[in-house]
Amino acid sequence: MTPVLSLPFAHLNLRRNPFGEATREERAELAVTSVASLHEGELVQFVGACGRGKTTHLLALSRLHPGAVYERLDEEHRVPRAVPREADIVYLLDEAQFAKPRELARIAARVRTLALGTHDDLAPRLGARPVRTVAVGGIDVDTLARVVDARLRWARRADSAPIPRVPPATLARLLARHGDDVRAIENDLYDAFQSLQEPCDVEL
Amino acid sequence: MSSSELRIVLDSPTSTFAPGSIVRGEVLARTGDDVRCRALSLDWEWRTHGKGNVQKGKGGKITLVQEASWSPGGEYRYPFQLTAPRGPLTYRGTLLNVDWYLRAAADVPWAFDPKVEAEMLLAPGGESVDILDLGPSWKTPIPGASRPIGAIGAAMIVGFCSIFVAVGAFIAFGGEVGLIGLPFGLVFMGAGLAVMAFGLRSFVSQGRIGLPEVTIEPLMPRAGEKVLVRVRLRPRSSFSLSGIDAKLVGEEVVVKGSGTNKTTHRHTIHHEARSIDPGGRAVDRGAEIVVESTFVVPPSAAPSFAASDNAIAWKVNVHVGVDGWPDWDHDFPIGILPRRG
Repeated sequence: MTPVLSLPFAHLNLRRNPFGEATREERAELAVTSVASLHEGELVQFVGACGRGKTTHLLALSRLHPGAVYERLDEEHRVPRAVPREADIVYLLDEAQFAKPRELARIAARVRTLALGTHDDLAPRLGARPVRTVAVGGIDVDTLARVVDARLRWARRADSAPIPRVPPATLARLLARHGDDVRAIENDLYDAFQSLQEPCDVEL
Repeated sequence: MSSSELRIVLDSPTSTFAPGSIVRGEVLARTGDDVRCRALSLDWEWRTHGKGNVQKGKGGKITLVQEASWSPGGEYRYPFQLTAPRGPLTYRGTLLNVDWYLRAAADVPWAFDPKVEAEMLLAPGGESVDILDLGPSWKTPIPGASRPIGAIGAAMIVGFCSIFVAVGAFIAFGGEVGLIGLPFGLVFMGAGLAVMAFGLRSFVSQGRIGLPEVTIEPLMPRAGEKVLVRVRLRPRSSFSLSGIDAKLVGEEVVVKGSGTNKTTHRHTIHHEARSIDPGGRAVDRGAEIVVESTFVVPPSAAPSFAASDNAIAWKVNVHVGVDGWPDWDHDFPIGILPRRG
């Protein structure tokens, strides 16, 4: 049912649920990673399971490399279509494990600076180029706190009024419940924020 | 570097407007430096936010001023008026929110362009538009369009599922993979048969009870109005009727992620079920049954909305229970319009 209208989440001094879906551009701005710019000619792969931050790393790189091309594969879209023609454009290929080995080798030979997000180690399929492998996962309470703070800042309405907080004890419980599956943690926090009536400490 | 600041102030203290009404307000500009503004523009768009993928739609854009000069200490006011869009309406839900945003942006050479965004609430209220925009993927329900599957549909289900069954049988018993293929093959066959049974149950039921004729009037009621559901049966053979039920259901349906990470989430916003025939009797072949019931759409029911990854979906479900035989069950999409303000 549609209640009496008010500005969204104004009762929490927020503009939205901080743990709702964000656009790709917003996710790039919200990314909390230690990833550094790629060197020219570097090939790096971010390897990890779902929800551990592979896409976050690639989107963080997209902010560090304006003009970079980001593409995401899936079961129905296995052939990369956005491979840059110019060799000096950075290419960020997400879910790269869906691409055929021959296609990956072709991309690795053609694109000078390349970053991949993948569930599997693709180094054997990338030809003779040296590959830097970054294992993605294993988040700690401090890093999770930074992720949560970034989301709260993004969603905040007025600087002068309080907003809900997620105390360290709650973060620790979420990590104990979900391990390093940040996506699952964000799902729990989404549901928690939906039921808040006023700014307070979130207990889960 | 410019230190300009923009603010949007609407005439309405609640920022609320009806579709088709006039939205009046001002964009205020202040600056800490001398600034040359090439153009100050205002645009508006709707966006979804919540658990589903963000989707948006353009409303319009106007230029408020071109070639303005701003000095420190001054406050520059640029009034505007625009016609409030036809929709989609603002919505607050559990998985889904729909909001309108006004965005002012100044084009300042050699500096960071100042921008500001403010929400505008779109709510029914004596609107001067007859046709509301219910979202980019909205399709008006057509009478008879939601026909239960007929012979062609049944054949397609059988054909599609048969492929699964055949592949499973080949894996299990084809001898190429050996014993290791047996469990996988059996799973494939089982899945194919289960989908076939589920998809065909209503078709099988129709073989006995005939194709139920379901009338829903109106197909797009307003919140607070009545919806008549009439079910007419002309059985092809005798059967034992265990009951006829109808439900009025509203749901938020959102899609999050894409590809392997795609998940669909649902939240029921309304569920009303009732028996429109208690059954418990034998029905002869050819004996016509006509039953009906009237639902009242709740006055605060959320209007329908449809975008590719976010929806407020309403339907009437009709269920005919048949003793000792597959039941007949079908969903009929309807649209809900807001109450007239």
